[in-house]
Parts: sequence; C-alpha cells; structure tokens
Amino acid sequence: MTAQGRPWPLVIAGSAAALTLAMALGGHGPVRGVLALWFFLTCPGMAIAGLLDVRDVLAEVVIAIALSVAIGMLLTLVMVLTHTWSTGVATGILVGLTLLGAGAQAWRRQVRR
Amino acid sequence: MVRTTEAASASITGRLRISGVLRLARQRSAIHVELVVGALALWALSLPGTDVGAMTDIGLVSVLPAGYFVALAMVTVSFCLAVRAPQGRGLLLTAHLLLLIAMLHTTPAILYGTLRYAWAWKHVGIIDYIVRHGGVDLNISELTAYQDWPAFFSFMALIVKAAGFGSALAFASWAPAIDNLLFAGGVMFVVRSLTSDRRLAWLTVWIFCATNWVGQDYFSPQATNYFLYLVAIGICLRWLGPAETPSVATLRRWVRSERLARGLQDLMVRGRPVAQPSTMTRRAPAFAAIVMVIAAASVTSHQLTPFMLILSLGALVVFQLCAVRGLPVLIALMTAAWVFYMTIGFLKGNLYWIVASIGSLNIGSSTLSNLGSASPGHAFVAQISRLLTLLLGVLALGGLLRRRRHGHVELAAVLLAVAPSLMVWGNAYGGEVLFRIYFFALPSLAFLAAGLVFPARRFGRSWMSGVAAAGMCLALLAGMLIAYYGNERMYHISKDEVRSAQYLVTHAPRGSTLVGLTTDYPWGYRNYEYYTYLQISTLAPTDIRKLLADPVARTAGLVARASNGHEYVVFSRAQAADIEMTGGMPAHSPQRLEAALRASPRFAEVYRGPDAQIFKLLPAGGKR
Repeated sequence: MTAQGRPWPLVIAGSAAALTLAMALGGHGPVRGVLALWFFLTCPGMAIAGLLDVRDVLAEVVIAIALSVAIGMLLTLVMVLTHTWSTGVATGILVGLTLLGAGAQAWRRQVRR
Repeated sequence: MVRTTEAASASITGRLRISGVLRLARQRSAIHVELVVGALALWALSLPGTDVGAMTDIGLVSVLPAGYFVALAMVTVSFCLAVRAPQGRGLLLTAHLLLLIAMLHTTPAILYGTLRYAWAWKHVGIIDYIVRHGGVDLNISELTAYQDWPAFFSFMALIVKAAGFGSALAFASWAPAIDNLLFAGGVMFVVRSLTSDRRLAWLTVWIFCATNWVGQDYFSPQATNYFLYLVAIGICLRWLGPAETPSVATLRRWVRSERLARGLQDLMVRGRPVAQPSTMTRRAPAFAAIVMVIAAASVTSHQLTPFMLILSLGALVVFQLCAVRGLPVLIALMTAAWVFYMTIGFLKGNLYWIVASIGSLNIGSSTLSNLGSASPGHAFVAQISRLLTLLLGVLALGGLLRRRRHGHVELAAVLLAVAPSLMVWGNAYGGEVLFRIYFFALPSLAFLAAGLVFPARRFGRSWMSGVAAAGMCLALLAGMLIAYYGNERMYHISKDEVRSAQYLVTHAPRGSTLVGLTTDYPWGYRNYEYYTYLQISTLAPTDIRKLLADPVARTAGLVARASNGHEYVVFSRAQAADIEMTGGMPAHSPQRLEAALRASPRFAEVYRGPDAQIFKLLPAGGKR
C-alpha cells in the first residue's frame, strides 16, 4: 500500500489538537506523555513528508521522524542560544507547522480528486 | 461453447490453484506466527526471578535464564526460514524483528527497573539543566561538550516539559529499544535503495541488529544522530542521483591505465543504486533541502556524526552516485562554522589532543589496549567483540564476492562501508574511533554479509539457504549477547545506587565536591552544575598509589583542595565492578578505601545501603 491512501492529515492534525488540549488542561499522566512523545517525534515531519509524493510508507515514515527530530532540535536550539525558551511558544510553532502541512495535504487531495 | 467451458474450467482451476497456494502460504505463515508467539511467551515467562545482582564479568548472559536463549533462537530460526519467500510476509517479518529488538533491548530495562549506563544519567542531567535554566552555558567547566552541542538536549527538554514529566528519566530507559527500532527503519530505507530483493533487505536488517554490539544506542545524541545519518544517506541514494557517469577520457585524467578507467566506468554504471531515477527529479531540490535540515541538526547536536556524513556523502559524490556535489562541501562549511564559532569553551580544553590526533593513525583505544590489566571475564568479552567484528568482516567479503560472481555490484554499499574508516586519520575520539567506524560501516557490512545467502534472485529459496542463514544469524547473535551485554555489571545502576544519588542531590549543598572511584554512578542527573566531581581512577597512577598508602589524609586532602564547601565520598557496586573488571586501580582498592574512611573519625557515613555508601568529610575537630 502506498502512503497516498493513508489518513495522515487527519491523524497529525488530531494529534496536534489533542496535545494542545492536554497541555491546556495541565494534567500530568501517561496519556499526555505518550501524546507528547508521539507528536514531537512524528507529526511536524509527517506534515512535510506527506507533501513529497514519496509513495513508499517506510520512506515516508523515516523521513517524517528524521524531519520532526531535526526541526525540533533546530527550533529549541535557537531558543536556548537566544535565551528565549518557552515551552508554549515552541509547541505552538510546531503545532502551527503541523496544522499548516496537514491542511496543505488535505487541500492537495481535494484538488487531485 | 467449448471455448467458454474451457475458459470457465481454466478460471475455476486457476482460482482453486490460487486458493491452494494461499492456504499453503497461510499454513506456512501460521507456523511462523506460532513460533513468534511461543518465543514471546517464553521470553516473558523466563525473565521473572532473574538475579541481576549475581552477574559476573561476562555480563548479563551469566544470569539470563535458558528460556531467554531458547526464545531468541526460536525467533531467529523462524525469521530465517520465513525470509526466503520472494514476496509478501512483510507483517510477519516485522513481527519477528520487533520481537528481536524487544528481547535484546528491553530486557535490561525490565530486569533493572532503573536507567542503565552512567552516561545516560549525565544526559538526563543536561536536560534537567536546560529545563531549569531555559538556556545553556557555553563556558561551564563540567561536561562542556554537551553545552556546546546542545540541540539534542534542548529538544528533549521540550518533550519533558510539554509531556509534563518530572525529568527525562520517565522515558530514557526505553531509548535503546526505540533507537534500535529507528536504526532498523533507517537501515531498511538505505538498503531498499540498493536492492529490489526484499529478502536481502530484511536479512540485512536482522544481521545489523545481531551485530550492533558497540552500545551507541542508549539515551544519547549519538544514537539520534545515527538515525539522522541513515536517513540523509538514504535520501541521497534514492532521490539525489546519479550524476552523469564520466567518460573514459575524463577518467583517464585521474587514472593512467585505460583498462582501469574502463573498469572504473563500468563499476560506476553497474554499481548504481536500483532505486535511483535515471536523472534528477523535479523534487530533488526539496530532498536536498531536507538533507541540509537534517545535517544542520546533526552539526549542532553531535561532534562526530557530521564528519561521518561528510565522508560518506563525499564518497558518493566522487563516484557519481550523488549528483548534488555541493552537499558535503556545505555540510563541511556548516560544521566548521559551528565548531569555530560556538564551541570555543570546548576547544579551549581539548584543542591539544584534537590537533595531535589529526593525521595520526588513531587505532589505540582504552578498551583495546588495556586487556592486560582486565579481569579474565572482561578480557573474554573484549576478545569475543573482536571475533564478532572479524566474523562479520569475513562474511561481508564473502557476500561481496558471491554477489559479484552473479553480476551484482552495489558500489554504494562498498563506499559506505569504507568511507567511515577514513576517520581513523582524523580523530582518536577519546580512544573510541574504531568502535564508531565499525558502527557507521555496519549497515553496509550487514548488507554485504546478507549477500552470501541471497547472491541473486534465483538463489536462497531452498531449505538449505534458510538453515545457512539461521546458522549465520545464531552465531552472530551468540557473539552479540556477550559483546553487547558484556559490560552490564558496571552499566547496571541498581535501585539502591539511585537512592544514594537521590540522597546526594537532596542533602549535598550547592558547591559540594562529590568524589567517587569511577564514572559508573548516576553523577549529576539533577542540579549537575551545583557540584564539582572528582573520580579517583582518573588520577595519575602515582597519585592513586599514594592515596591507597594513606587513604584518609590523601582523600581528605583531595576533596579539601577542590572545594570550599561540603565534601562527600561515594562508594558503589558499579564503580567497584568497573575497577575489578578493567583493572583501572589496584585490586581491592574500593574495599580498602571504604574500610579506611569508615574507621576514620574525619569521615562520617551518611548513607549506607546494600549497593552504595556515602561518607562526608567532617570539619577539622571531627564534629558532625
């Protein structure tokens, strides 16, 4: 099965929304922990990798994880070097990027239909 | 009419044949499913009751129950028989691989119940620093390198905060399993660029997991960077090439012999990765940009990986397997800019040995060269590690020759196996460079070794091939268990050792000096910048001898010299194990030192547990 038929936009947008909600509610528990790990390690990259027409699920997933890690590293690096650290802002930027990518993927699918 | 009947009959026969094949395939798969489930159950049932405290110098294998080994053998044999099928079985093989990774890399976490390996605790400490300060201190004196290459730690700090965890300890124990899953995905991604034979790709990943003994998969920047390296290489092989193969006339500018030039050109043409398009696609700029983003993250988070990336990409560019020639140059510029602009604090203290090791043959290593003083068990582990490496090298050479005989030349695999070894002239990397070279060459070595079983598509379907693959994988795994788990006696941080470390961070005031024997203790996992750390085994041998001759006065002098506040001396099981195994200090040093401090009125024992003891230096006069 190619990556094209999979509901990635929905999954990553849902993950972004769920993490935002979990952080807003402020609870501490395993659900929030797993959600955060899942979101930061896969979703921002998946938002971009989904636009590449890779057509190979394994390739798309490894690129998505590598991109998520790389983008997360570079964003937080800038924050620690400039002493502008903010968990909320960093998460907000990554959630915004994810929603933008998910939206672009959904729009492209509509256009292709 | 007759034709219609014949067609219908043929259709029914065809369907029956297909359903028969499917049934047979299901039956054959069912055996493998049963073996996987059986191995999983056996593994899970065998672990309770394992006494990790009874571990000897050959590591975890000395206490693992027989059920563990039987389960590992079951899943390996099942995989090697299942992998022979030319198509399908992706889910089944994935299940085998997941179980292998779980058995190899979650077993220590399950048995110990604590984070394994003292350096992982230090990484937790750096993340704790960023969580508390929201920044880094490029001029800090302790663990400077981590502050100078902070991208991994800052990203983990974000996850810790966003997840609502107290610290990275919440997930760090599971990092080896997660990292090995990522490595397996990365290796598969690279290998599928080299071959369209899925059996070869799957066996490569299995061999990789069975020979990745160097232990760079713990919670660390290098583990994450290794995955980034694999993905960058995979993208280049699949989407950023090839360049136009140079003509023989062009090649003759570099090699004098026409025959050699023709051979080289033939190698470049035949050795192209199968997944590469004939020309660069319109998406190539996007993929090149992704490689640059990945490289930027690598440059800012790890010292060695960018250099390995430059060497490997450079080799691919030189042999026309990557058309974006500027990539290694850009990454080199980025690395130079980061090192010379951002890591001045680190360079100040380390430039002398970095410069000294450039151009030298850096094959010396603490682990390779000091076996004379090691315990017999530890020396045995080191010898098995060497044998395993040698065996893989021989298998890879055999696989290369066998595939070549059947017309397959994967030039990229050879280049990626050889390119990291150039690092031996670049940097000693604290005596570890040989291990790191092996680590980066491993995916290609595993691919070439797998070629011994699957030299071409028409080979490797017989039972004999399955048995040969199983024999090879079992032999490699046997070596892996000893080589990978061989240092567990000192890598295992027990619950009592963790409790003692918690005592220190809650009781030792800011500015205290913490003295230990070795690094094998959860030093600095919280508030790490509050303390000064001293490890006796790092002193000059003459100083160690003097200290052992007069333990109380010398230890008191040591801590008093280094601190203006409170001083603590920590003894623990893992530190003593390190000294016994490596011979880093004279025999029974920990016991002699501890007995002397306990008997002295100048030291008070403030923590005593089964695996750790902490003594506090009392002010002159002996008042507690």
